[in-house]
Amino acid sequence: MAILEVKGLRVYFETVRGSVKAVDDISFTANEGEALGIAGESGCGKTTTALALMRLIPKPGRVVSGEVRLNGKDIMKMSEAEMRKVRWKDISIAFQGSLNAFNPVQTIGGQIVEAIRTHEDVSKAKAFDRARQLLQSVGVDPGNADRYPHELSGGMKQRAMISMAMANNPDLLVADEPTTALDVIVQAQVLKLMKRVQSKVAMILISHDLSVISEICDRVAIMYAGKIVEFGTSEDIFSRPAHPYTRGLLSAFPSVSGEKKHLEAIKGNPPDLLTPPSACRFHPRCPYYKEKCSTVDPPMIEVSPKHFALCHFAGEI
Amino acid sequence: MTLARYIARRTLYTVILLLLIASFNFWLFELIPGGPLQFLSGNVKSAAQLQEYIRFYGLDKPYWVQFADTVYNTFTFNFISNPHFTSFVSQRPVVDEIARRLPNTLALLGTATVIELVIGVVLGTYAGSKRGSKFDITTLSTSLVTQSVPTFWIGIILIYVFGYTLNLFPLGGVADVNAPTDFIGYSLNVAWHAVLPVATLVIFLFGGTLLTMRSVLIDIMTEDYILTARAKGLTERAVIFRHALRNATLPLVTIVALSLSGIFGGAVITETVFSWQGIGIYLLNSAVNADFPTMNVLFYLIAFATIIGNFAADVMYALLDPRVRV
Repeated sequence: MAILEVKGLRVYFETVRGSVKAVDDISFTANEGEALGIAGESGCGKTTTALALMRLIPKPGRVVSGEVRLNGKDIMKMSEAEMRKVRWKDISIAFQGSLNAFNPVQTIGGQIVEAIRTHEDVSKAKAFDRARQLLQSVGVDPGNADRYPHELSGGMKQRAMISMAMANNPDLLVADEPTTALDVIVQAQVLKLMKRVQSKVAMILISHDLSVISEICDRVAIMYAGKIVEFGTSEDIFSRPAHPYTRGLLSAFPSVSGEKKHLEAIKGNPPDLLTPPSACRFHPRCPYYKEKCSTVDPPMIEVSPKHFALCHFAGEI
Repeated sequence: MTLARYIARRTLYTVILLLLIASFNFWLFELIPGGPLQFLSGNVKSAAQLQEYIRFYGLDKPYWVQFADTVYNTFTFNFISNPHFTSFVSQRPVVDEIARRLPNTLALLGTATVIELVIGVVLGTYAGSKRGSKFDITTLSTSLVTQSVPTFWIGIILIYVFGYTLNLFPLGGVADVNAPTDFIGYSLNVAWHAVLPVATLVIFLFGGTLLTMRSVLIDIMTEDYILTARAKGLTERAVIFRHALRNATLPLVTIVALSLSGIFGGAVITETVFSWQGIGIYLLNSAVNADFPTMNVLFYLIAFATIIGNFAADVMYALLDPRVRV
């Protein structure tokens, strides 16, 4: 069952030089008991998409159009008060905890308690007990509940962040770059935790790291310059990529088990979203470029059942 | 206890700083060309009287004894009973002269500072949390203007409009000559005289506090933990009070500590414009008359207030922010 349906979402940032189309007409669904990965380069609109799901786009950004249906209800039409009830209770987000996502002058436990008590009428003591249990469940010593963020390591903070995101048993958990800025061993521990969490809740995992996505996600959306360019199961995306950009991404990525070969970078730079390329946004960098690509908007082509690519020549190249 | 050690270390620094100030104050006056004798001799009628003065102020003793005396006596606040701290001009103990004027200054600057802080902090917080709104733009441009115009100008305009033209407030002075002598009556008379000078100082000072508070809030509102707080479903009020203001307390403590320690120094210009007999005017007159003992004590007291204010701020930091204690 679809917990989240996003249709035609557009988020623009209004600047003095014009609108930056950070997210431009994207649609996807997230299903119960499933992990959806959103992958792409920095600045392709991944985090903006995540924030739009909670209606937390910072100024001067705004959602221009689109529907975001959570359990069937369009959150874009909700009042601010209704929206506050949805945040963290129905949909929560685990920010990159190794950064400044925890308030530096409040204890970790206090911040988890705040999340619980904002949505549930429980006593402070009970909420604090639950905070300790939550920390324990992600493998952080419950004694750390009384500690301040600066007293925890990056990996511990990231786990604590995940436990806080789980505090109100949300229907959907968005994890934004959960393994970025952690060393490899801690990354592996957090990944293991993410897999465990994933069995309990629908999850959207945002990462620029394809190996993390392939490790956890059932389905994957590849974003490029504010658009979803390919969408399908992990199997489809990683074994039978249909979009030239996805292919470029994959060949730019080392494989530990596969044969040794030169990594190929995608030529050129990500486009300026103020004046994105016409029609297919990838055409200036595409090795399969044909004239049509710069004049006619590419259609979403279903290359195989439930495997879509935004390319004129998907399935042919 | 890391907290106790932190406070002990801060106390040590404070003591060292005060000793340095006390020594500096000695050398400062020694270094003025001519030295104290030249300025003393203006009041002296005969050679015998000069000798008497020299003995009285201990100027016949070796340098290092004078130095040790001065440092010891200032540091221990011994100028209250020590004859070396007698005004060159009035020949009365400096402490008496200060005690007569300090209440006037404390009343004026204390009131102005408290009002200024409240206005600046409240408006600054609100403006900073609503950056770019009409309220923000209005308060921002207003405070830029008010803190840029000189106090004597504000003072003169207020005197002209509210004192001279509308005749609502007196033109100057601390109290009327025929003011009631009972405490309440006298206080009311002083308060009436204080309205314009207090207003002058508030108009001049609140902009700085407002701008600092505003920029602190703007910085904090873009922090990741503010986004987390909003994502948790907190109301905007809770986000500002529980998360933003709690992190703004450190700069706030600095603002308050430094403003409050500043109230001992007086406000030279405002006191002069309003003929308000306080520390500011006294300091100016002492400098003009080269009244070394008075300047020595005043400099030390002002430095003392500032250093203690800083010390208090440091201790508050440790109590408020867990990261400082490390």
